[in-house]
Amino acid sequence: MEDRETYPAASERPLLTATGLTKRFGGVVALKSADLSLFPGEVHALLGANGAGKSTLVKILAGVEQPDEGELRIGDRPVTFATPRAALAAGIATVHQELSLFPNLDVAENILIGREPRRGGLWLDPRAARREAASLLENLGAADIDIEAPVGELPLAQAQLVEIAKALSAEPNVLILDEPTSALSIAEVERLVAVVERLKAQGKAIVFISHRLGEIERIADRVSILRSGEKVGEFTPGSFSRARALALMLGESWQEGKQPERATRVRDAGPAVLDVQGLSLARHFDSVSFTLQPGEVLGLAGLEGQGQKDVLFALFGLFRRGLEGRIAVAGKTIRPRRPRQAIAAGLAFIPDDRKSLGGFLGLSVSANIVIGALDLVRRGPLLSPAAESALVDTLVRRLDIRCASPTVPLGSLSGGNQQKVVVAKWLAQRAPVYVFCDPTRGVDAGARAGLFAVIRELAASGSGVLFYSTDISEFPALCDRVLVFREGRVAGELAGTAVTEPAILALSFHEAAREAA
Amino acid sequence: MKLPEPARHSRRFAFEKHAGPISCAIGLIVIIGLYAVRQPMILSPFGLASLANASVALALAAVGQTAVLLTAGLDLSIGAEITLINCFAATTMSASGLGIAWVVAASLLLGLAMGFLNGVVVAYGRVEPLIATFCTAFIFSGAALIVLPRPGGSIPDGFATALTGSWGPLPCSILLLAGAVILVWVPVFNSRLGRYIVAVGDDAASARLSGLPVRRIELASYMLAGLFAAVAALFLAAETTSGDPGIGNIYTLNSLAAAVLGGVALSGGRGTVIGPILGSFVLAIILNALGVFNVSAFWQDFIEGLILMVVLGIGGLRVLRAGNWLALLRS
Repeated sequence: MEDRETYPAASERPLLTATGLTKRFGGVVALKSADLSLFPGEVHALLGANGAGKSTLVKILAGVEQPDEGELRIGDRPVTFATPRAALAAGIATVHQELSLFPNLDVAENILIGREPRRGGLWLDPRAARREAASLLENLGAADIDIEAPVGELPLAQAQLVEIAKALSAEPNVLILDEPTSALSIAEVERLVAVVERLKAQGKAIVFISHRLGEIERIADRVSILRSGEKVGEFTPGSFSRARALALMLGESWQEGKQPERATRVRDAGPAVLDVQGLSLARHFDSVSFTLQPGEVLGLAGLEGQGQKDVLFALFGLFRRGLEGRIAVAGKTIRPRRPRQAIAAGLAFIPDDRKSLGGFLGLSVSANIVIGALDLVRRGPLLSPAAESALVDTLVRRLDIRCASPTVPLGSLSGGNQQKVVVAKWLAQRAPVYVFCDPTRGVDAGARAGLFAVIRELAASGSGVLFYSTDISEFPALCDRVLVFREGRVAGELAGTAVTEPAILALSFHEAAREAA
Repeated sequence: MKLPEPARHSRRFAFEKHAGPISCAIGLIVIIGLYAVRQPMILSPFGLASLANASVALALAAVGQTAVLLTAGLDLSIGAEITLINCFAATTMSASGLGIAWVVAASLLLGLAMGFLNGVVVAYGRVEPLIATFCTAFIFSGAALIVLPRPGGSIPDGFATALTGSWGPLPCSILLLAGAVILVWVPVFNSRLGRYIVAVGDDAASARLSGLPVRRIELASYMLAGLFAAVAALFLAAETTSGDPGIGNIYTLNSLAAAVLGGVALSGGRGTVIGPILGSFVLAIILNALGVFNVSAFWQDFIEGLILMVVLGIGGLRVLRAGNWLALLRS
């Protein structure tokens, strides 16, 4: 936090002001009455855990989402952005986390999309485009990127630099950088910092999102902390402290003694039901190793997109190639290349996206439950309706699925009950390993409690459970042990009473453990 | 944007871009060679002109189809557009006293208008292109039957010979095709519109985030298809010197097959203009040869269907390259 004074003092009047921004998705409030002021010559960082509302706020500023309530002003003028096009026209350019590039267009075409240089106001001028694109990349210290290569051919770090150059080519007054450095090397980050300093000197306002606290300390002047859709604090220039930032991100749940109680279960001493050694997939995760004991609930935690979800996808055979390392289920080594193989090996997978991955919304509850266990309800070659309804009734009662009748379509149930049906599908056939991939997304509190009870019951009956959630508060409530992922690797492991929100959050953010402790 | 695959695919990109046109060019030479073995006359100027005449309408339709395919759209109404304009031209060009130039201009406008309708329904009505253009196809071919219930009408000789004759050693049909490409395709695809058409097809979400007017771009692509369909229809009118309310039917699926054969991706964002043109020549000459060598009409349909299935199937092969099942589910 040295020599803040070397920067030109921010002027009084903000370039862009957001007041009372609120955004709901269905019943979920993603952003609650958030205020934000962006001053010229200032870098404003947004910091928060998963689901804190950073993305929603950025999407509103970029015109991708429209707020339900609240107001945006540029200077004194109220503005509304119905589309990203409108935000761009107002001088707001965004470096999107997911990148907004065109894989089949070349680097120059990508950088200047929407701003192609033309001759006579009509005919494209590729030579001028290459020149402009090359000078933008040179500013970023990325002159080595082949300007005529299709972007789909570039490694992720270079694509990220192209995305940044693309935003800069709009010559914005407000530049939003949504995790611009996640794939960059240290040298590349340095160049980006230099560019940001230059933009500051030109009086531009910059919004900066990063999970690396070190970067935020270096780059940011002002830091806003978000938690559960609310802005819970703002550090004025020079006042940032890691410990206070982490405390604000956690909120009251970080009080001592507020930890949910967790029964200490007696674990089977038997062999691991799942043994993963050195599992790697280029650009997704690297050297991930862990074992899962029968009766254990193992959490894979971390901020979103750190590779933990991809590990689960890989176990379930969703990646067709490139997987390295060893996976053994109940002592048997498998190489799952498609879900069928993973299921045959004894993996049950409950996904977050019920529509496309786990359920058949148009089919009945009953059909959904027996779909994977048709052998159990078969009499010779024919399905037996009696056996089917017996099996379904048992599971509906066991999981407390609320539906008028098992014959109603799955789509007519509430989110939580849909999720239970997907679980029931796997209960029909006992699996040694259950994988829960963000199962509580879009599920209300009551259904969540029910689901947790089911998960504990599964573990108690001797299966191993892998659990991933975007809500870190769920790990202490449920897991015996937690692996915290950061940038595709296991950054740390917590077990028993050490599984706490602050500990997980600290491991999730860079080298923050000491300050938090 | 989907995560790009690592850089080791760099040669694949270069190859894929030219694979369609190059293999079509080779295929074209082979097919004309085989044809010539059975029928040496085909290499005479007259023979080549007749092959060109048999191919140009499909080539025009395929170029129009390509404009839509590049945006990741689909135009199943191209055949019906051709039919309606063909019937319109055949009933008005001689009989109405409007004069050839006015009818040509009206036909081109009619093509643009039908494309406009398609574009509005797809881009602004948010109806799947498959469904939307399948429905408008019925509207267009129904209208054609109202205009001209059975084959008939007439086309002035001057117009017919102007499009189907020869200009020195060059068949006029080839000049027409070249003219349409040079006057419409080349300017469009050297301006921002063409760049945006490719961009929208490559990644519609990125296009929106990049501030491109996605819907207007889609609309424009269907209008381009309608314009090329109109040129094809006028050429067919000249070739047959009459109108026929069933003339366009084969061009819908054949234009799609010719475009895919020429290396245009059904998933959008990738394709050239020369590929579909060469693909059209290959396809049209094969179909023409089936007739010339007395293959029964039943077998012609069978073989044509088989060719289409194989060609369209090639487009599906690239799916096997995806490294992640989820990417397939969501694409």
